[in-house]
Amino acid sequence: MTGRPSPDTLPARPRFNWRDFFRRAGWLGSVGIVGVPVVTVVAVLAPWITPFDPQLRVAGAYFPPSAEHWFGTDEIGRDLFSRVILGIQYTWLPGLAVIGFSLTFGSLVGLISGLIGGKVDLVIERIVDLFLVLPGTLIALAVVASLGPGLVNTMIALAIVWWMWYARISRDEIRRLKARPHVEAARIAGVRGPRLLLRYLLPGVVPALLIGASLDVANVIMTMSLMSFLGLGLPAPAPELGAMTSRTLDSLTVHWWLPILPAAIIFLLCLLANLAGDGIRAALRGA
Amino acid sequence: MLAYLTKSIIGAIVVLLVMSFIVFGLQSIIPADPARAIAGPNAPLETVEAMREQLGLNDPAVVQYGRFLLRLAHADLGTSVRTRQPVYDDIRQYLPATLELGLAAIALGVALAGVMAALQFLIPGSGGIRLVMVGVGSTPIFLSALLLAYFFWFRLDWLPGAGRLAYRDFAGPTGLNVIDGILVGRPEVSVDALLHMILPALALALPIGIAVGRSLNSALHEVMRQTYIRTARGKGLSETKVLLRHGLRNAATAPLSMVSLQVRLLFGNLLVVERVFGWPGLGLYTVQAFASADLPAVLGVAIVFGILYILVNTLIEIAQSIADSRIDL
Amino acid sequence: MVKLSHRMSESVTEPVLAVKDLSVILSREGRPSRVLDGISFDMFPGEIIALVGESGSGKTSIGLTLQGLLPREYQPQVAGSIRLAGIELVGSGRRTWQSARRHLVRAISQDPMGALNPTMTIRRQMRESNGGCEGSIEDWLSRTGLPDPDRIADALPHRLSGGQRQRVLIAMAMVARPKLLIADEPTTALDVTMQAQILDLLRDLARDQQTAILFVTHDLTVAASLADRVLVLYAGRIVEIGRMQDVARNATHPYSAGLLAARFDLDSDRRRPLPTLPPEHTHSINVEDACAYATRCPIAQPDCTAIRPPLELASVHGGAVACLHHEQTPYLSAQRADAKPWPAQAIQETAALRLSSIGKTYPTGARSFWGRRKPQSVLRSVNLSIKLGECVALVGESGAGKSTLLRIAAGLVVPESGTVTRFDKLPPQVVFQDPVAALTPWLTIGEQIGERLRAVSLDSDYGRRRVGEAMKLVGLDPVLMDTLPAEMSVGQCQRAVLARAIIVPPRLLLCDEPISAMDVSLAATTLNLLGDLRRRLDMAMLFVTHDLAAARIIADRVAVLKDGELVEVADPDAIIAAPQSAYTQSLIAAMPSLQAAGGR
Repeated sequence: MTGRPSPDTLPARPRFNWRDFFRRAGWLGSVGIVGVPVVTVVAVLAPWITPFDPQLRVAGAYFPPSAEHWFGTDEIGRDLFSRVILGIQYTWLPGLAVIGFSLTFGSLVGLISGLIGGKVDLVIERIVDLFLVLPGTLIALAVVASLGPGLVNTMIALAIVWWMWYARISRDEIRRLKARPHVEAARIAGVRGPRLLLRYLLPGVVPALLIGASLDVANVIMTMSLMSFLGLGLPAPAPELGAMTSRTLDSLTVHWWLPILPAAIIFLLCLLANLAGDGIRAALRGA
Repeated sequence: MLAYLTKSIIGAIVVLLVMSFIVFGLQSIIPADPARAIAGPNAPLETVEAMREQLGLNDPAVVQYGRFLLRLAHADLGTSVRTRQPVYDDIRQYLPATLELGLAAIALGVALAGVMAALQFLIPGSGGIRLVMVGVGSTPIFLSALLLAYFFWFRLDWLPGAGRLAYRDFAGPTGLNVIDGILVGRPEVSVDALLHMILPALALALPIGIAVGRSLNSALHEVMRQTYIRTARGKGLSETKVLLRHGLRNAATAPLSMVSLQVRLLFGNLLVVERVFGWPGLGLYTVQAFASADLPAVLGVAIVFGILYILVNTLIEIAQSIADSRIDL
Repeated sequence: MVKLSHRMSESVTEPVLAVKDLSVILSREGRPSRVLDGISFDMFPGEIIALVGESGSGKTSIGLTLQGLLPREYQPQVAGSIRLAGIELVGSGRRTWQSARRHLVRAISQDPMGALNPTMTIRRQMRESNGGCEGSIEDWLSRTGLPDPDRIADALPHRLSGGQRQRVLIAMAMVARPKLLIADEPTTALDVTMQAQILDLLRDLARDQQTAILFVTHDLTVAASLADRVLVLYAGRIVEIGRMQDVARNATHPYSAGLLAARFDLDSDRRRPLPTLPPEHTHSINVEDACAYATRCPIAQPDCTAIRPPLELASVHGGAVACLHHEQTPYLSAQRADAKPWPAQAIQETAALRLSSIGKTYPTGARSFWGRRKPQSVLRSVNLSIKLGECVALVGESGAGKSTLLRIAAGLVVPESGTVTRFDKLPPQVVFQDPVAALTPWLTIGEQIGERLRAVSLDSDYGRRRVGEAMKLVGLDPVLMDTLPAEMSVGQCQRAVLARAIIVPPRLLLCDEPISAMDVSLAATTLNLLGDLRRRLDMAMLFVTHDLAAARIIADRVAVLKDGELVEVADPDAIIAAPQSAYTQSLIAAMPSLQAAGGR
């Protein structure tokens, strides 16, 4: 507010360290940033850490939540908590995979577009624009409806409507950086080719991609569970969280825990992912 | 303006062509055989083959695509496998219910967004509101729909939570019950239609309100840091006038884009909400089509939603150019 | 409000503004810092006071405090007294402040491009300023020298040029007939000719409307051409206050004396390095009981860090000064006069760079349906050559095409016609306007300076040694080799940029407005450094600037560019003594000068 920052009293900005990173992320963001790896570990280890066998009848049907069966039991007496834990695997890991694939493919396309420029950029941009104005969820639904329900098809459908966001981000960032004086200065200093890309351009693109991707995890998971809810996921016995809610929808008024608890877990996953995304944004941008 | 209209019509045609191409491509690569599907699983091979010939499935792909486009141009979306009706007729029957719900959801969502942004703006540094917003924004649509139905309908019985209208045999001229009730002079129908709409519209409006509200809030924060805001304050204007006259209009572009993004997600959410509340619209129709692998119905709805989406997008672009006169259409 | 205006009409000899012991504390990220400390001064109707200081001195904060517009996120704590037209403002309520802003105090800012609401017509913004009345809007627009006020009133801001916007802002402020106008660096973003016109306008307003003007600037020369009195601010404290001519002639505080010595104009001595202020060493000294300037002050005594100097009567000019040893200040300027002159520079006849009939167009305006845009010519058949060891300054206003010409010389832009010939294969190096933006934020400055060595050797010990040598050459401590640009000051970044350019000395160094965003003292330091390096390393130099005074100091020849054409190329002193083209004449006439400032 006093015009430019004073030239010689500029506060020294310390280098990257985790303590500082978490401080800027805030406590909510830190909860998310810590929570996401924890959820991932749970998802990977799910089959081994469920208290009961999720596929077997372990008690009577429709037990409400209790100390022994935290989430109660379902219509044939399976432990709902164990099924939900396994469900995390079916929801979380494919979600990460969709983000990972879209991120890799999209940012590659964006990098090519931004780096080469000219006609190539123009053509790629038009294609990206087109994908951006298509109603994504609708296309994904139509794709899965056509290819047939299933996890892999859902993932393919989502990647088809998701990659272009990262193409857009990385292309815009590359172009923004390319016009910055420091990249021009590096060029004048004789930096060329891969060295220019790896040392002077990519480190500037990564934060924006990281922020975009981390904020998207929850979106992908929500869309996937929505498709699973609509019956476009795996067939019946599979413990997909969205499908579990959908199948027991009609018992809402009698056995509320059956539809609501799996949905609540999806909520928890999305909440953690969103908090982490917000935290990462705040930490990297200082927003 | 004329140039803009031309451009947006051309753009719309391109988008529709691409959508139709994807849709057609899907139809031709699916492993399931539509001829077999129509003829039934136990039909003899000759019947299926005759059906293939009848459906033109033996022609080259380009010819099939041309025929497909031609049929589209004549609003012929094929015949539903499930209802055995032309998809076009089905859509005409179910569209008004969805339009009514969708428009109500968008209106309610934008209103919510205003409230959210105002709350966040007036109570600065409130981690509480932020947490609520992130929380609501992380709620899957079926959970919020379920919770709303469970509490306000089943538990408290304040509002109806199933169907569209208590008057079974009411049918008005436009199909939009709230308007029809007034048109035919039965206001009690309009009131009942509104009551039925509150819960599903609220479920749909929550994500719109959160996303647009957050976008509006951050745009406002950005704008209120600008020098021209200081100029406005320097004129001795009250803070409310500064915010409304100078802040809001300059902050409108990004939230409006967010509305268009949210409308895109609304189509998916409509399916869920109509399923949860038993709302007899296109969404429910589509969900039922999924269940019976009724591809023509699904694709027909996709095309109609695509057209609606393009319309909404164009309206939003016009709104943006009104808010910011520097944007030339 | 009736009350306010009534009080004013009682007496005109009463000060319109009386500031007493004003202190402001702002908190950033929870850390409070005192940005203004014990400020007291009066202003009378029609008086122009220049508020002078470097960036960070708190000069902008004073303006904001007087308007009650300090950013709320910094939790401002204001103490002391501000009486504006008899109304006490410190501690008063929101309504009093709003009323004061509406009727008594207005401001124009250093950023005319951003200070107008982009989505509202000028007329509506003016009307708002005029309490909702339509009257006298066009009258004021035309009084500020805007042609066709009716058309301008109905335009949106983005249709207007920077100079026009600044006039609109002045009209917008004046339409409310304020008692006090705060002008915060109103001309820094404008070209010299425009600057001169705006300064004239302000001078007339103060005289005709009896508006008191607080003119905030870092440039003493500009201040001298306008102000009645001057107030020198350092680290949030007034260090000297007095009549403008007196302080310009006999600066009594070592800081004001340093600022005065460091500014340069068309009459400065160009045969030797410019005097500069000592750089700021530290910001950790406890200034509560000390002179804030003590760590930089060349005449500081032990007691300077133990006692806070009070503002006392300065016998030399009848103003006031806050320095325990101000009687020593005159010796300071005497010391500076005998700096060693620059060594003679051998200029060879061979050209380091030859630009012949360069032409370049840029597409402008809106894209047509097919994405084409109308081409507009920026450079038309420009011929310019720079000899080995010679420095040529390219002078012109914004939009003249000077940066484009530099980029063509650097090989960054390909001209549409004409040829670029360079003496050798070694590419020229470029110094950009903003030194902070020219450094990659995530690489240490050592890595960036050493980048050009990779062509010579990949050995890292050798590299570090050479980087260290280059840093020493530009006056940068080699200890800073492993720091990131964000950890350094602007001045240090500028030196790092220069070190990168000269680590393998190029034959030709291209500088694109390297000092235009800098305070006077940093600008002088940079000019000295460039002058030293080009002589020591025997580099030819193209120095692009809008500042004729800087061009004259640094260059052997000055080339004047107008609308893409060279209008004049000659020896700097010859150009200033006898400008050949009308355009150069107008540039020179518009230059503010300390000597010419006696007029007021």
